[in-house]
Amino acid sequence: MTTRRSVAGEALRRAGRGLHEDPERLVAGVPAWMREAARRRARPADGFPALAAWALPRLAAATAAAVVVAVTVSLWSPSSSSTVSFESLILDDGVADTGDELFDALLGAERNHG
Amino acid sequence: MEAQQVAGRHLDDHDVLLAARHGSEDAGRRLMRDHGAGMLRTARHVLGRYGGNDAEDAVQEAFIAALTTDALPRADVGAWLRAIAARKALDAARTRQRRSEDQLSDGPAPGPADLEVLAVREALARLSARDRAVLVLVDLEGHSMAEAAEALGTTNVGTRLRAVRARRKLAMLLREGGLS
Repeated sequence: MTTRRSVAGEALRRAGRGLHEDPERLVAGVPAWMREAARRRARPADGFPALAAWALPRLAAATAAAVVVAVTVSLWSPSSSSTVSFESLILDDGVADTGDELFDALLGAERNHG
Repeated sequence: MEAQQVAGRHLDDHDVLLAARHGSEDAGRRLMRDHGAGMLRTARHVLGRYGGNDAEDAVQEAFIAALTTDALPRADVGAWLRAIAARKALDAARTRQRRSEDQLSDGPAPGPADLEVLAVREALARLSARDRAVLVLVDLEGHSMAEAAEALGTTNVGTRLRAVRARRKLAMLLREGGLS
């Protein structure tokens, strides 16, 4: 029984017919290739990729931890309930003090100019 | 390691590979003399081009990689070298695709390739390079799916699926060309 697997293998063998590879051209290149291999082996273990492989997972873990801490602190902060919302500042002229001097001055100037 | 030993075939392929890694040019030449033609043929199959110099470039990269890595072949050194050549040819095919040079002509095919051979090559050329690489390693070289997946840097399941699809597509192309 002819399977697709054997069909593919046979097709590749047929495609290779008529190829008469001469290894001597490759053999002639060997000394230069070996010098290149020696040069690559002597190269310091790929400095940046090695450093990146070491540092990136740690950096990602540190960032995730920082996000968790920041979210926890913001959720549990006692002052979070007393913050003035942006909408109330825009809609409610009665709010006089946001707690931020620069912001208050800006809002005051806006109100004065209509 | 004595050059005469290497040239005199007192060593098996694993020893020759290690000698080449330690700088013996005789060992390097012997590796290429014994396995270069097979590596070149593998690279040509994966590239889908049976002329031109890009297969030789892939063999060069494969040879350098074989001497640079610390990994050792588990069994047949020749099969291991051909698997590396397949991987390097696949990398070269990707680079060629990125450079949009896929339309380059093959140039004159070496040897008296008859019309049927050319038609089979044309059918193979219509598969992707990765498809051809899987078929070469599994169906021609006889590697297991796991070995092919490792050589090509992909998953076992992905290789299996690709092999099934590629075989089906090739069978269809061969049928269409009246070659099955």
